[in-house]
Amino acid sequence: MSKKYIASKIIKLVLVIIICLVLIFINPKGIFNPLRGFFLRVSAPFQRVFYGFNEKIGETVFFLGSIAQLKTENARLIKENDSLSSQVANLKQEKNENEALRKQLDLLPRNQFNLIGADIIAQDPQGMLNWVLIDKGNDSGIESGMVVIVSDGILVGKVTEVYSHSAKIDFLTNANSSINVLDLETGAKGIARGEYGLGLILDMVTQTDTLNNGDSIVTSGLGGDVPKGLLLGKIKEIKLSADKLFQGAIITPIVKYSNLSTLFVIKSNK
Amino acid sequence: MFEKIINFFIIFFAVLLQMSVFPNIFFLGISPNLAMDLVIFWVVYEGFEGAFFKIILTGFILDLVSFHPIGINIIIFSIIAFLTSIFSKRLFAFGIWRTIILMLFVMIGTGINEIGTFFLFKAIEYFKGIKEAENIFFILNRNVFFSEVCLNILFFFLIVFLIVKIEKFFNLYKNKKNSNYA
Repeated sequence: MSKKYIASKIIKLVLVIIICLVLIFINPKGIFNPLRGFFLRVSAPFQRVFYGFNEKIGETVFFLGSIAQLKTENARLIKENDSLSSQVANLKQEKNENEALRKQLDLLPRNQFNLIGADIIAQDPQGMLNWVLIDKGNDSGIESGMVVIVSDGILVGKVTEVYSHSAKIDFLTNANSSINVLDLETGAKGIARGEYGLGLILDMVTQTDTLNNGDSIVTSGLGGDVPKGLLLGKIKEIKLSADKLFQGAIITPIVKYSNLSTLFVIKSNK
Repeated sequence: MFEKIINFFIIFFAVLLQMSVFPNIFFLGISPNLAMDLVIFWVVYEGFEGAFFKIILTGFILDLVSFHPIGINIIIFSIIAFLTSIFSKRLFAFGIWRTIILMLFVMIGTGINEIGTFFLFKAIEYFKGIKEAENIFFILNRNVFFSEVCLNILFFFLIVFLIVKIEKFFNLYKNKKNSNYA
């Protein structure tokens, strides 16, 4: 291979790198959004079909994989059923306490939102479920910054980019995500942050506040962009911050993000 | 023109598979990078110059659909393509090792892709304050690189098989002179 030939390749490569670096660092991100929007619009029907097909494959793979475990799983479930029966009675009492606490803390009832239902059609291929793409966008009234929940008011993320027929949702577990929260049982306030797309960390809780394992963490409504009282998860483990000035905790999300197929975007309060 | 349309559809569907199908089938963020496999295949098959436009297009479409800042995958694929073309010319002289060399290219390509993406996102985080690198830091930190390489190699040969079939069906590439791939 001649040196001249290699030199021409190097020149091409360097040119591409320089142009791309200029695009990445100088060009505002939004300049390609119309093109991205057009491409997403064209690809959305295919993505919807692929994602639906994919879910069926996933279910089948899971079913086949679980056949071998059915016997032990059945024994475990019978045992768990006995234990759960006794817990139901306790939970009924806790439910009443929970309602009383929600009233005391002035949290919004979870069923008072105008919601837009949307299906997931794509997700982050590189990370650990940092974001998903839904099949509703501008045309359905979705706007950037809107809050995304599942089922009974469980917060999962926020709309970060909107296109005509699709929108990108950043999950709470995304490293860029941070949200004002409080401990529903004790009222301790803090900030929930995403960690590596895997879980949630509760941070900036003062030493004077109380945190307990198993406490429910809900949005505090501070900042005004997220409604009060949306459930994020439960405290799994309490720990001190590195400088020991604040308390923190690992939050276990209530829903498994990888199992989601439909999301609800909160358009407004009813 | 017809060849370009076919190639566009190959890239389009490979990227859609990568974005909409694989993340749910494969776990822990370990899923095959079809776009990178395509780039390596085209470079080996047509050379850097011949595949140049397709490399840029593949990176561009992947950037568009994966919501990365435009340019990230173009840079990474260009570097992978450049290195592949430099070494494929030399290493393919040893004919019998062709399959192993191809596997090596995919392995090195996977490494460049992961590390390149991480450092580019770190740079973006430094200059623009957008945290994306942390989101993939987990993948680099965990010892999942081997699984990803295996998947990429598996899908690389699947792609070779499929594209050669498509090529035969549409009678494309018949006059490619830069081809290293027999």
